[in-house]
Amino acid sequence: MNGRSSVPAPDSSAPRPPKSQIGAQVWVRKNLFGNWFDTLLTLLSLWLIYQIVSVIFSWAIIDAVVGEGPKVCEGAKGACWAFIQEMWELFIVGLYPFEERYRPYTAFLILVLLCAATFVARVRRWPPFYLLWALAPFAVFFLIRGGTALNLPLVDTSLWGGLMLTLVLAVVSLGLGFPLGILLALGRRSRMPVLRGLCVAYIELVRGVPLITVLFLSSVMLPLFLPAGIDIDKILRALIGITLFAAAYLAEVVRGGLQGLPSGQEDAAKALGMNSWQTMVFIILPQVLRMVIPPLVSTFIGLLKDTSLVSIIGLLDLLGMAAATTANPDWLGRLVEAYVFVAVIYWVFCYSMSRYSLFLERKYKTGH
Amino acid sequence: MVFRLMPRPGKAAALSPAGGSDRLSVRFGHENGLLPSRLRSPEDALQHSMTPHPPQDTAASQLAPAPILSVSGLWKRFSGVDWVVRDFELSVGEGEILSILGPSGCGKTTLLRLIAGFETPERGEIHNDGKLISRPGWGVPPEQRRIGMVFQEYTLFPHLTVRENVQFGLTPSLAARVRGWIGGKSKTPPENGEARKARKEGLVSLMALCGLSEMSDRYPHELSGGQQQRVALARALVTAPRMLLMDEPFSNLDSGLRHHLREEVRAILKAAGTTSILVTHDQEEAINMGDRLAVMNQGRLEQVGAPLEVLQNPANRFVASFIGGNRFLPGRLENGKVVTELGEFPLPPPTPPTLLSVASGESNRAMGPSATSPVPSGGLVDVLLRPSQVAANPNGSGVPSLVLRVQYLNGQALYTLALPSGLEIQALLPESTPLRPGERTHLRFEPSPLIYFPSE
Repeated sequence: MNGRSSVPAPDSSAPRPPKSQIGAQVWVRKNLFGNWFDTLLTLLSLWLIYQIVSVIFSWAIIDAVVGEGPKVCEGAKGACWAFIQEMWELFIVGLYPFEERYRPYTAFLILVLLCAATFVARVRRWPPFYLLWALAPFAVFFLIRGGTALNLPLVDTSLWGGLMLTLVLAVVSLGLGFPLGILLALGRRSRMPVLRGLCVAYIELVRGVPLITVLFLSSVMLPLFLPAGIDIDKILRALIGITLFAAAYLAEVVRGGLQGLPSGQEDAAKALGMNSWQTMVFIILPQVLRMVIPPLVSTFIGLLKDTSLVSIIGLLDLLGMAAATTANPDWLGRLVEAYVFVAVIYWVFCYSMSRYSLFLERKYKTGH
Repeated sequence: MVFRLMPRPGKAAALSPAGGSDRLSVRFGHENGLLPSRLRSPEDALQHSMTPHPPQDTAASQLAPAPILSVSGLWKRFSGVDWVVRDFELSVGEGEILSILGPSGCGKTTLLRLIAGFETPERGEIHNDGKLISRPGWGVPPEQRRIGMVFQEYTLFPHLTVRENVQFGLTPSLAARVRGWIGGKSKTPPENGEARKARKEGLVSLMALCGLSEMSDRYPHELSGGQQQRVALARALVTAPRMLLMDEPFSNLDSGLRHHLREEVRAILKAAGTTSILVTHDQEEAINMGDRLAVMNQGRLEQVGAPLEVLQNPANRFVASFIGGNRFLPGRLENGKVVTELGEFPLPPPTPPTLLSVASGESNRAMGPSATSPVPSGGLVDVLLRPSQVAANPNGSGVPSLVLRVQYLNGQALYTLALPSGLEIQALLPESTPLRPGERTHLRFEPSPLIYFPSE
């Protein structure tokens, strides 16, 4: 990032160590077959790997069936990818009306483009760009939902599902839960006993309850408290539940970071005449959030996967879709294919987040 | 190098000369900054001036501007039983630089943190600019005190570059920003192009002064300790604070840079009229940097006065032994003379204590040479023996002694010698002195004036 000195290129004419000391062959001999025990372990491991990979390979590729319709899979020994070929859009957008599917795809494209643009440093330095980010959630929401004002047919939220729903739940609940979590963490460290007590009570209460319970409460209990006639959208109810749940966990992550920050930092900012908010926004939070990137991303990943619990309250998210599609009489029993497909999608998202967090960690490694 | 601090428009008041009738009355109440701060009213001051004290010498009067900060009866302890700061009395005059010197662990840093507002005292009060800013259980928040601080451990902001660290104190508050956006009425006039340019130039010259120009885009973790210390200094100076507290600000610099920066910082502080308190355990720094010097030990103020005054006229044993690497020579009072191994010396004529040499408050344990001696004739005393007052005379008269060790410092040689009784004393002699360890010489002690304390 900075202060990196260039290392002079090695002189090609300089004498190199003899062949017998370098190269892949030597490395293998030294590290894998150093003595009889190493050799035994190496051979055993190779045999195990072969056994596992060969089974997966033959199931997923060699014996797999590709084609159209349920007929092609009759008597197939391996995976029936024809099922995924026919159903994949259901996994992505759920029961969203067929002729309107371009709308979620467009919304997805908008988000991907925005993310890509964010990686360009020059774009990041252009302030109006952040206005686009601020507008993006509204654009995406109205594009997917539609409505007469936009001259787009209204798509009821009960038809939302699949990966789209999973992403909506994860992004919105984390996007709202994160600031809420920061506030809770600050409240927990507050000098005001009432505020602190409320924050501690909230955090400990929510962390002591499984997410399923929170979801049940929000979907079953919440309507009981509301006056008759007012019906909160099912997805909104789930969103509120996950957001409040996420906030409690994120609060503890942020609190860990706050405790790790030397108190001198706050004193230094105060001595420069900065008020509490300035100190918080410019000095404490930037450092704390950088410090807690690893646990923060772990929590994000956990919550992304936890959203799959909404299938309990009848929402068809990515995992719910797996159950729903395999209930199709034509494709009965294609559970393995469905779950493998879903697992791959989850893995792609979680792995990207984890790589991105490593990138951020390296970028912000300025130490104390 | 010409350097002028360029305050933000809103902070201009900080640098303007103090005015207003309020300040005048305070000035009258403390006609010099060395008076005990509990003398608050003009009557007190008058009464005090009628007591038979000799008039202040002119240098001391010049050193005594109106007090802006006064600390009275301050006590502080942390969870333990030991008091970290005990009954501390101090006042600092406007625009004055006060050095506080003391061994490590004597409560210097805690005192600064009390003044800055990071701690509240158990007893006592702190007044700044005539207003109470600290009392037990209450204090004006540090960010509202307009007191800057250079921390001993720098506490730079690790996520900001050097330039961002230095600039940070100029960050406008959110309220000011919003006012700027909506174009509403602002307490400070909007910064025009000229003012902005002046501020930028001020920043650039401050960075240059502290030797930071070439590293402005680096991060603190990429700097050495000395460089970090300079950033901390620049960061505190940029806001042009009313008062600046410095906790060992030069301790990590190499000696050349330390001298240079010390003078420059002193010049800046003087030019801006910034009242400053410098805490250090380095005597040379304390003596050269401060207009006045306060010596602190075990949480108490031992003595405060002009540096030379403290150096030459220590108020008590501790001050005498702590400053100047002095040792004591045992002696006995006989017939108006002090008899020691290095000779007999007539007692100096008794002089009343000067205000300068006496620490204020109950902590005053001054047993100065000029105070009426409580030691009866025949009593045992310890005579202050300064290495610089011992002369060697290899062939001539004097007390015979054996050279034990020699240490060379700044063009002079510090000899450790043994007297016939086995007592080790030190003598500061020219570097060219031909004495080597193991050789014998004769010593003469030339005290001027003779300073002694009752033997312990």
